[in-house]
Amino acid sequence: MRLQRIGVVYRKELLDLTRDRRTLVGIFLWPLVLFPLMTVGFGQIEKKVSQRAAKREASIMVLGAEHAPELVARLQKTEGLTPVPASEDYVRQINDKKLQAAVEIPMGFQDTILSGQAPPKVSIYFYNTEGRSERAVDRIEKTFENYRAEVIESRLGARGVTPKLLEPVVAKPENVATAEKVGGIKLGTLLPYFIILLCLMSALQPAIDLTAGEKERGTMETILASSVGRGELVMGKFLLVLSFSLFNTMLSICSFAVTMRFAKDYAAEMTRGFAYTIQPKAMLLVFLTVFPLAVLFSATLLTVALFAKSFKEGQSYTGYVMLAAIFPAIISILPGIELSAGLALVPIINVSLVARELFTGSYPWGLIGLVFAATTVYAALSLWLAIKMFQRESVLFRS
Amino acid sequence: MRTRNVAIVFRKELTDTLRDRRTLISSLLLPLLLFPLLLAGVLGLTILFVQRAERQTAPVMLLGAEHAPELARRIRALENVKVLPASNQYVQWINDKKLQAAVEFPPKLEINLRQTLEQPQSVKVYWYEGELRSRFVLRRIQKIVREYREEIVKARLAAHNLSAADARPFEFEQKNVAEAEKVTGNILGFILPYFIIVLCLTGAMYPAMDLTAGEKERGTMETILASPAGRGEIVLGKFLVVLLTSLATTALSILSFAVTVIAGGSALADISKEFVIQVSARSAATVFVVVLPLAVAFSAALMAVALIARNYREAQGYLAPLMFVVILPAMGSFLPGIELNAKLAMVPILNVSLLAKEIFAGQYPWKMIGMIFGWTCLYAAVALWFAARQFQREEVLFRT
Repeated sequence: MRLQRIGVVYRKELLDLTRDRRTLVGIFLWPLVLFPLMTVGFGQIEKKVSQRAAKREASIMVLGAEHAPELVARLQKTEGLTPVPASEDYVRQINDKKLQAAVEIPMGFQDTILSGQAPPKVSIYFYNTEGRSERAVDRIEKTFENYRAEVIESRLGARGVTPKLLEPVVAKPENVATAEKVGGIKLGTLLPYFIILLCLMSALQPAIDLTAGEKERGTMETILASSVGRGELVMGKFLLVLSFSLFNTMLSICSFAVTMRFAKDYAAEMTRGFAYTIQPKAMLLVFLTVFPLAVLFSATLLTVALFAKSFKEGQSYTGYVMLAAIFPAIISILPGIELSAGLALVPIINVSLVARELFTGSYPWGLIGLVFAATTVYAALSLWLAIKMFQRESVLFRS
Repeated sequence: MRTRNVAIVFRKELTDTLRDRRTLISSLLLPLLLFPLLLAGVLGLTILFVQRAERQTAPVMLLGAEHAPELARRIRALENVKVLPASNQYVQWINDKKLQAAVEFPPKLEINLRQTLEQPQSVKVYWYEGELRSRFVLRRIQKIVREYREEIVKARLAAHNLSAADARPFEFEQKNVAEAEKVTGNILGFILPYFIIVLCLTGAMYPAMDLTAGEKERGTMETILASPAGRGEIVLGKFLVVLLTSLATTALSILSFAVTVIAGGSALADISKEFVIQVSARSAATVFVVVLPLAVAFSAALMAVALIARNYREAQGYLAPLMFVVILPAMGSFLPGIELNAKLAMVPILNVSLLAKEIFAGQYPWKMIGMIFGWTCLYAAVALWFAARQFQREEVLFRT
């Protein structure tokens, strides 16, 4: 195997791919235009829409208003609530979203409160899961709570007792994790997932094109007849697929970083409002662990696509590889899963979990080494398999 | 245009599509099996992971435990909680996840609580915000403090000759009055319209490419054009196959989704009694009627664009950006609180997404339904006309 020949194959394939303008569009369009637009654009719209929705007035109905004139007066003053006249069909109206909530006050409410007998119960009828209805209930409850606090104060005051009596002790949660840890937990879960998917997706197109596409164009025989050896041929093609995958992934990450810088609102939401910056050290280590994974993806896709006779067929074969890879990637973002020595051996999941650790600023060196070693072994195996398959005529000239 | 010729083209293309077993597997069987598998797998694993995280022994530290012997005793008695000896390293340990939480009691807490009615005391619970296990422990500690507080309050009230009712002048409770169908419909309405629209598109994508660019690639386009069937008849026949595939994919995927949800429903019922998945036949039928013209528009538009390509691969390059154009407005159903109005009813895709959301939630705004149906039909007609015109143009058909 000579380096110079691998270089020749690499340059030839690179020229081939970059000449096709559509490939180039595919490389740059997604990460640079669509990806930021989709994440941030949609995030901004959603924020705006929900803010507007939160401000909308809600219609409420009070049943038995005469039993609690004081409480009703307070409801009328509450911001965001518009009382409508009581009517029998309130359930129907709530179901039709014409009414957001109804409050039913039991008979003799005011008198019971003043006399201090067994507490009466007020019912709030609403539409569960309906945003506007739930917001109306929140407002009503807040007004009720304020009223209740006042009643308690005056009641205890009448007996010469301070209402502080009712608030002896509270448990106050206080976050002590660093901004890097808190912010990184959400971002650090999603980012590895995207990096892994990008690595895979970017290798897909060139892998099919350099194998099944070559067959389809009928140039496979020509290339095999050249003085370049099989191993050199595979290495040249493989390196090109790998560099595509890595280049595209890097580009996406950079574009993501830039977008986050501009869309501060969105970034704050992603990082739970904590000023979060990815440490260069973490980024470097993530790249280091993703590298063998990209090798694994590139070599596997190349091998699988080689079995196909045409571009179309190559697509359906590699589709299965995609599925097999996406499933572990999804598992790695489920809540409650943590990196362990056992999981460090599972391909894809291990890289995703170790990347999350790194992004949240912890460096479990033993596990990082284990993940790197395991992934390197899988990568070497897949590369060996790719070379093996290129040696077999039955695969190369399948008909 | 003769119906018989259209039918012949339709049958030919249908046989062609059905014969390709790989296509069938990847476009029909796979989503059918995959959807339930993925959903069940992800749901099952999530429950498993979360339960395991809950059961795992959580190391906790008590700072100043001597000030609150009773609270400390109760925390120590908690199941799956291990109390570590106090150390000033707790912040570091929480950051390293070696410690899930640290509880700091103020000096003389319990003595103060028994004797005076001073300012409310606060017990600080240091935790790791956003971390699952840390949150579980925080909640359990908060619950213990809350229970303890209730007891103190009770004792204090009794000491002043007051009853518990004096501190609770009245109660209030929330009561859901929306029908079960509306409650679940509201949740389904968030995701289902998006999936239906995207499935409609992806279902049409493959045959649209195969019947146009694929035909060119195989070199059979000329043969077909030379047959006695007219251009319009060929377009219509091909279009109907694309439409059929699109609708079949969508219907089957939704069906498999429904079966999964119903099968998994018994598992979900344990979590919430109110969670009953119910989609009435009426709302399903109405959504279908609204989606139909949209599927027509997708099928025709995809065919018209794919016809420009010389081969299958090129067609893919043209159609991929189209996906994006469709996905964004389809995501409209994810947005909370957007109300349909006459203007939004004109925006293609977004209008269907928002309307389907309403219908799943059991609302039938008939005027809106009519308007959106009308607009979508108009867009569909334009797309179909465009596709037919593309087939008339030799420079498109025989592009080199």
